[in-house]
Amino acid sequence: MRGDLDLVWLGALLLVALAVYWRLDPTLPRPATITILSAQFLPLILAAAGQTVVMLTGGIDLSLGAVLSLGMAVFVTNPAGNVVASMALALAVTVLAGAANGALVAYAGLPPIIVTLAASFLWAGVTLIVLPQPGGQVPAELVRAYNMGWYGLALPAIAIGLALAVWKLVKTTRFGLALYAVGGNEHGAFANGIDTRRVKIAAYGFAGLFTGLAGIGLAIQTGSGDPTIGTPYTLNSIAVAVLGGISFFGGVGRMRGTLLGALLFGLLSNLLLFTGISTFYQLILQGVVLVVAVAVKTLAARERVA
Amino acid sequence: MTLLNVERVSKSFAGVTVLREVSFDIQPGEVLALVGENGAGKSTVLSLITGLLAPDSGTIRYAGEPVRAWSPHRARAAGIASVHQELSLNPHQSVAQNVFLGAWPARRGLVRHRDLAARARPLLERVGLDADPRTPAGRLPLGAQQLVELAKALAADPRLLILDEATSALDDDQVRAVFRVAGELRERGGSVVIVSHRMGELLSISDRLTVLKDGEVMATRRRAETDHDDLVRLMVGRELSDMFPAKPDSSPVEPVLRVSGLAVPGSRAGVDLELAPGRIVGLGGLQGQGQREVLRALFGLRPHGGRIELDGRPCRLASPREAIRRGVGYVPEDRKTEGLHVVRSVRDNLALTSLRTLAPARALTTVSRRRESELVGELIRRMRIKAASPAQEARRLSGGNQQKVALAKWLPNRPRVLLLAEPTRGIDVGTKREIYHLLRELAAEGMAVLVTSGDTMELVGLCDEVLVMYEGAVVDRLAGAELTEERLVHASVAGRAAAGEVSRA
Repeated sequence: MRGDLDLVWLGALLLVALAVYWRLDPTLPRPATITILSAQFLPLILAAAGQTVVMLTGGIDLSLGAVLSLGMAVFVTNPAGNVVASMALALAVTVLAGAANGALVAYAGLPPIIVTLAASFLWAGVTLIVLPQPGGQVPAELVRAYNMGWYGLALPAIAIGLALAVWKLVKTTRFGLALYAVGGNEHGAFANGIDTRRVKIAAYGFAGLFTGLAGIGLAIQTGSGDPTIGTPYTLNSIAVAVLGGISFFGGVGRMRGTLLGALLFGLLSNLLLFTGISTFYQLILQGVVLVVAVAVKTLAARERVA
Repeated sequence: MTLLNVERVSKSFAGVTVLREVSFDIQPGEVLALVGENGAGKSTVLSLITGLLAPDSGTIRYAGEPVRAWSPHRARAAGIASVHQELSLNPHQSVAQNVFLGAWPARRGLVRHRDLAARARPLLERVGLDADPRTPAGRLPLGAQQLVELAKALAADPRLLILDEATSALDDDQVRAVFRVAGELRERGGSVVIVSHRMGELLSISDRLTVLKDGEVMATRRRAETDHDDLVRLMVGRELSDMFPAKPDSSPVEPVLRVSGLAVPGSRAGVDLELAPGRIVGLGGLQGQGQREVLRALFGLRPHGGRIELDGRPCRLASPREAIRRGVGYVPEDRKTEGLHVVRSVRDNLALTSLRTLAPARALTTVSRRRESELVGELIRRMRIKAASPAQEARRLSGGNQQKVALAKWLPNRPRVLLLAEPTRGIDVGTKREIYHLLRELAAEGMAVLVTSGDTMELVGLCDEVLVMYEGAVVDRLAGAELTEERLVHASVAGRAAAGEVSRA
């Protein structure tokens, strides 16, 4: 219930942002605008969803941006010769990359921040081997359908909806509950017979899946690949998850919070673009908004405890 | 057939033997109590049974089969469920989710929350807990959380239920509910192992009692063959003569520290105490009755109310910095996090509290290495710290030597008041003796010493006066001829002055 209250406050902020946005861009409710906006937001939403899964176990994934680029690179080089097979291959690669992070965290007992920092260099290097410079191919019809609508359907929005629906299902499985249990009290979970290692590996694997989807989405949106485009998504995804109420210590937070956080984050960035002020100030404002939002929430929580 | 056989099991940690050839057995349809002082090895035995630890030698047989590759997972699958004093709940998940923690009932792979709540309700009823299964477990009061743990244990439909201090946070009604559950289980042929400090409880529920002392089984008695005094004798009966230094005749001295109405958040009553130079005062009672909080408050680690006078003048001890400046030293219970910098050298640890004198302002606050070496060498000699060299990392030392370092670092400042929490926990007998004699020496030099300990023998042997704490208040003060282990145990368990009471069972 406390979590719900946090989400209400986040939702209210989002509504304000939407109202302002609508005033500046009256085309907001039109299907075309929704399609473009959802295509623009999809990578961040899915990347943040991946980060959320990892953070729920009490971990953090600093290699997320690199894995995103890797997924994108594999996809655009079209190794399988057809789009669907390349997509599947790209996802397999990112899931394995994530699971490898998880295995190191679970078995070597290394702190997630170190493991994933090291992994970020590793995957960035691998990506550059796969795709040394921006390029690659995404079929033009797919790019058009994705960005302009397909028989009036906003494909990116549907993709986001599907991914979140899958998560909603996963969350209600034993694995989903075990994920929260490990994040909330790892020793307790272990003492109650939960295989905490397997849970962690699966969690990082899921993060890889979401991250791979984000990379593929970004490739289709831009029509080509870029081996370094993923980098900012690492920190942005963490910022969004924190904004959405996911605890750094694990076990607390919900995916819908992350979704609201990502939408707010994306809308704010666009709004700042509209204002026409320099990108320098935009960055400063983004930082301020983030600190204020998190501080308000933390202070409110402290009040309730005291 | 015997359900569980523990046969000549031994276990040691970092060279300290915790269990020595421990043997006992549990029959179906029986409640067995494990009795012993803190540190007697009860928890270790239970951890071996539940698969959290593996024995160094000896065998554990469960239902006739020796257990191999035992783990919490396997123990649980084999029908062993446990409730510990330390909660294993996830505070962020709902009561229902916690009841089925790790074994959530799923239909076609999915766990339905309504289903979970419906299945949890009868279990919660059985343990007498009236709580909404959907509330987060962390929101319930401590006693209720303990009952959730019990419901969780019952959810596994156990053949062997382990209750490890499971009643410590419960009120009388809740304790009755726990015993009712244990009784029901026994009637259906299940077994229960119970550990509790409350002797009366044990005598009312158990069929047999096994007494542990210093990691060895002293005796196993049938309920009808024993009573409270017999058990206490078995628990504490040891030769005290050589272990502890002689106590000097105490003539009244003006106290250096006078505390009245000391209250920490969460405690109900204030604590009054006086510490005088040359005297060692102990804080006794059951575990977790507020002893630790008193020490932490006096060292400025915990916000507190009440009046503190040092040399007759009121003073504030709002932070460790202030406390140290006023001559208070603190050797904490958890030496690895608060007492020492375990990854730094012995030398760095010993010099840390003396930086003010080693690095004076006129030398641009740089540390004089020569004077540091002198100081460190002197402390290592005086305390007989066994380290390969002063450069050795503190974490490589044995527990006893670590404790000596944590204590020694205060000495150069010549503190007026020395606070020690569980000064000999996890330390071998020889070093214990050294520390007792050292504390007495320091007292004789004019220091006022305050010690908390869960070891009644230690308190009785070492202290001039012992204050017995119960639920955050001092309920009895024992000194002189009144200070005996039996009086102390009685007062600790009864939660009031033990005068005239022989047995509360």
